[in-house]
Amino acid sequence: MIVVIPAYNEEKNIGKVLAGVKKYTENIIVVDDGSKDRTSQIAKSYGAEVFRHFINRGLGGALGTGIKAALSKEADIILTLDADGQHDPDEIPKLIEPIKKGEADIVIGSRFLEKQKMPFFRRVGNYFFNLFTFFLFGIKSTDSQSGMRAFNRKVGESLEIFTNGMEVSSEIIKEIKQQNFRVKEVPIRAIYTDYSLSKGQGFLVGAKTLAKLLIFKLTK
Amino acid sequence: MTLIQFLIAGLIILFLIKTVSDFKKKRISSSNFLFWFFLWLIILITAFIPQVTNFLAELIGAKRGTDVATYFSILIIFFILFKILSRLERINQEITEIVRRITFKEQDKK
Repeated sequence: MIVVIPAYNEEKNIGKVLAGVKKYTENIIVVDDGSKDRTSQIAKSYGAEVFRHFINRGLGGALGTGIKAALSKEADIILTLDADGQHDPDEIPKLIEPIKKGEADIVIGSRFLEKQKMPFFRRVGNYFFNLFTFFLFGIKSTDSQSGMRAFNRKVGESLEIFTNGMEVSSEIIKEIKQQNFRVKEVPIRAIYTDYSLSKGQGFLVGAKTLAKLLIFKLTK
Repeated sequence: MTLIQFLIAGLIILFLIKTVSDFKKKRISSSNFLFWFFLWLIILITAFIPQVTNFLAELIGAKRGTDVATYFSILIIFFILFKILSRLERINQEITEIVRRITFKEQDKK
């Protein structure tokens, strides 16, 4: 298994995240998406392999690079999680188990399968995204914007990530549908801190993501 | 001739000259040139003889020619906006691909 972590200006959190992930694997790829802080140095000090974009390209661009790198290293399973500390690395086994057992090709960590605290606006925003993903691509998902997911090599190879920004999460879901992969959603806990809230999709970024998804749908 | 007609006509003629000179310098493609050239030309004609739009108005059921011109302007603006946005998106993807290749090249060097 190779863990792919896209990171942009995450010097405050990346160390903690990497320490947590290292309990499960040493194979960690961090894609430093043009950070202006010490993200790369810190990631290297934890033994992660760092791929650095010299210009910030957005989440989709960073994920694409990470998946490509993982595939070139003969990864059988690829797991992605966010560098901001909102995902609990201790949930990694839960995500990769269905793939190891051959029950699913891709497992998505959903923040909504179990009741948990989430800021009201985040909840409403995510609801809209799920609705939008359903209308555009015809896919029902309880968490279309989740950044924690694991998939096998077959899925990794077929994922052609065209988008650069946050809309990548919906795009991956679209791809799953087109290729008829077996999907499983497992409940995960989202750790919301003031910090991770300031970095996620606020209202404006969310609106932009929706607009880009629409353009994406109309032009592809 | 009213003052506004002169102002619009003057501006449009400037745009026309710019379009032609851009095309001569190969800054815009021939299809783009044709699109803009005829668009400016149509606007120029309607500025001088606004009555032509009345014919169109009657044809499609709008009250006045100027209304028709306004409707079409907005439609064209949205169309251009959409084209620009999707073009931008494509350029963005291409930049990402370039950045990615450079990233992998640098990684190979290490």
